Amino acid sequence: MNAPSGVIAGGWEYVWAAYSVTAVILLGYAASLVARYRAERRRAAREGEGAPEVHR
Amino acid sequence: MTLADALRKDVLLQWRTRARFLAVLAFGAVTLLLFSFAAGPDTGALRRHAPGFLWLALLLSSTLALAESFQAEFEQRALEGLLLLPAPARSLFYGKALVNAAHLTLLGGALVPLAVVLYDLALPRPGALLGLLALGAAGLSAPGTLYAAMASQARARQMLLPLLLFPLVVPVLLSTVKATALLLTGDPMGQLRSWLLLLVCFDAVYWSLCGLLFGRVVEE
Amino acid sequence: MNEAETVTVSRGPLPWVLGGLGLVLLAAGSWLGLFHAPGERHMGDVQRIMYVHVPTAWNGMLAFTFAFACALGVLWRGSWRWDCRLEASVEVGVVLAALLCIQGSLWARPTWGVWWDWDPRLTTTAVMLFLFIGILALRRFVDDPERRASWSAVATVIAYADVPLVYFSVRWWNSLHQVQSSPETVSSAFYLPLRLNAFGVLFLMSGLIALRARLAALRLRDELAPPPAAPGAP
Repeated sequence: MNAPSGVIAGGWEYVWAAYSVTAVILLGYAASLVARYRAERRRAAREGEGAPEVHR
Repeated sequence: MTLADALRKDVLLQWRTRARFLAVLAFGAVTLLLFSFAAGPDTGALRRHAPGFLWLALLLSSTLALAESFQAEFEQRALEGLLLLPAPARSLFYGKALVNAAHLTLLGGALVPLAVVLYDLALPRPGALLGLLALGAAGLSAPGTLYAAMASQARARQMLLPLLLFPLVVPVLLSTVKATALLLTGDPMGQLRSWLLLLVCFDAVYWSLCGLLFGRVVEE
Repeated sequence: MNEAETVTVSRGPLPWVLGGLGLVLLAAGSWLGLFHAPGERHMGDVQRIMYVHVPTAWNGMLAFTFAFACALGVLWRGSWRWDCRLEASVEVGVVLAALLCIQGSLWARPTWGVWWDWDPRLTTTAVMLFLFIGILALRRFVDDPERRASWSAVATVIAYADVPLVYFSVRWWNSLHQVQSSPETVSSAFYLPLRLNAFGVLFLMSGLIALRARLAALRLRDELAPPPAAPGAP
């Protein structure tokens, strides 16, 4: 108990921070992308294009 | 148009706009001075960081010099005329890139005496330093010329060239600064060769790649 | 560029399926990594950051490699489809690279006591981040679609060629001053969270790229469409 064990103690706050930042950035980007995509789709539908669309 | 013709055109252009060279040199000189102010009057620290300061000043000045290099072509819309000639875009690129490299080498050479004075440097191998300046200038010039061609035709051109160029030339900066430091203060462990090899590699890759791709940048 | 080619915009569930699958895998892998993996021998619990850091690193590199392939597609095939994919993969790659730098910082602080330890791989990622931000800026400031496509493809090829050069120069620059230490990858005892997260990020990233490419195609189609006839025109 007296000698240092050579193991980094704790650091949980950094782990939580890393996982949270990852979640926020990935989910945040995904959400913004979906929002932008839907807005663009709506705008395209309003202006009524006749270009062919591919189903995949 | 052969490479020789392209070279002659660009040398003439540079000669006719030689006043701009002095302006860019003044900019580089002021930058060196600003670095001294930023780092403080401690001579030891200045001497240690002198290679970094010199090459940063050269890099910053290169954005001005490179941006200028396409000014004439695009102001007069001369580029379209040039491309009508049965000339490969490649000659156009290499002509301009070579002249830009020479321009930057001269600039660096002119900044060295100022650096010697400001940072209290000794120059044991001035010839080798000049060679290093040429290699570094070549590394900046090849991608710089290509990006200058793009930037001069795009919006926000002053911002675009440094934004594209600076991250790209990190290997040039690292190798030239290290090699300069070794030239100035001695190379006990024989590392100079490896840094030079890295620099030569970079130059080889980008002088071929940019020449190859330049056609796609100036095509209509 | 192939002038006659019309820009087709895909519909269909692919991005949503990929994205959803990716999120599920990520949730599972992260949960395992946080709560069930044992602490590592020397690094203790900080090791758990590796379960998100390593998958992000792999996939960030993959995104930029895919961007390079798309650039070749634009230069060789001249198809708009490759241009849309290029835009998408560069943007997603930038997001992943930025994330990687933040994760690396959060790993370095408890481990080395500094926010940035000049680890060659991480430093190369930071340089790549700026390289590819430059390409996004280039796209923003060029109005002509054909030129935008060719130029960003050229810039991508040039940027990608720089990556090994940057890596070696930084590695060597750093090795002269500090004992080389790479972040320890996961001990072989516990690969599962790593694998789950790796595939999770892969699928999520693919879904994001596919969706972003569709967005690019929609905007491009609008840009290339002939202007509507003025009212009262013959």
